[in-house]
Amino acid sequence: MEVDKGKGEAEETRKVAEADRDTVTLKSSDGKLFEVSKEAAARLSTVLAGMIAGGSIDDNGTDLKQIGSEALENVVDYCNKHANSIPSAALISSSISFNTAPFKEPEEWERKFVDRLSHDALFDLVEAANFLGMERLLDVTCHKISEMMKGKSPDQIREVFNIKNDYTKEELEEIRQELAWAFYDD
Amino acid sequence: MPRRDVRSRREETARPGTEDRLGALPDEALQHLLSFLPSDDAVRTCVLARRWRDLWKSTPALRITEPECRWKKPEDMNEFVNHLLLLRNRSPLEICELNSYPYHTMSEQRDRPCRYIQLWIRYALAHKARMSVL
Repeated sequence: MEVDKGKGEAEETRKVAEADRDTVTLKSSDGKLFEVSKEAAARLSTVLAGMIAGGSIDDNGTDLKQIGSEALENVVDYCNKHANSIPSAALISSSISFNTAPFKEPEEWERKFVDRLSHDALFDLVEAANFLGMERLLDVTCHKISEMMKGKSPDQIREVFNIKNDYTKEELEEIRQELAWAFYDD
Repeated sequence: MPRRDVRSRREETARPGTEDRLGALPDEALQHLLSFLPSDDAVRTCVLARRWRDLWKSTPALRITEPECRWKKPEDMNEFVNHLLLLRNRSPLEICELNSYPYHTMSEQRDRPCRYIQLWIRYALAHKARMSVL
């Protein structure tokens, strides 16, 4: 766009163009740049919404030092997919008899989106969503982890998530006695 | 030897598949994900490791689903929910999902499964649960 104009004039044109830009550029901890729709970023992330409103978005790439490029790519991918998806009407399970329902079940594309992630990529994304204040993405990723825990014994859960049991035998016994009302089958 | 917390342990071990990424998440994230589990599963995570001991107490959800598959009799379910509500922290309850234990309307014991339901609903309302009766 910058043809033969005076320097000041060109600068002015660039500024105006960037103020009108409908994307924001985000920079991962390892220096990679990603572009995402300004509208989607502001709608899905409270942190990015605050930065956009406060004018602290850097046109050369807003530094997100906490987020690696793989996680940021997933964040941007999620924002783009979200912007293109049509929300479905029937979101609440019909079997629920009494429910406050603040959480809408993941949609088909959201399920696919988290299902394809590796174990580490899923956790990187939870951390990124938490850092960026992306409530829906946090819901969807945490929901996925809860599905991985569902119906499993404590030993199985420890194995899936590499949890080290740091209780002593006596402590465990004490907990089971204290919470006998929750361990009715044992 | 200095005490190693979860974060520093994570930095030390870069090998994939051996880290406890779940335990490294902040409390709020863990409480959030526990809120998706049926409440009895959520409470029982307390035995996983010390990190998990008290997380169930501030989980912002009461989810009682498929009670007939989880408790042998309605009294067991009543005991569970009464204990849970009594012992959890005074944190808000954002989600309340209650399925009643199945019962026959003609049975003489029909009041057993529903004995406390009104009480639980009042508890949920008092703890700021956003409710809708479906």
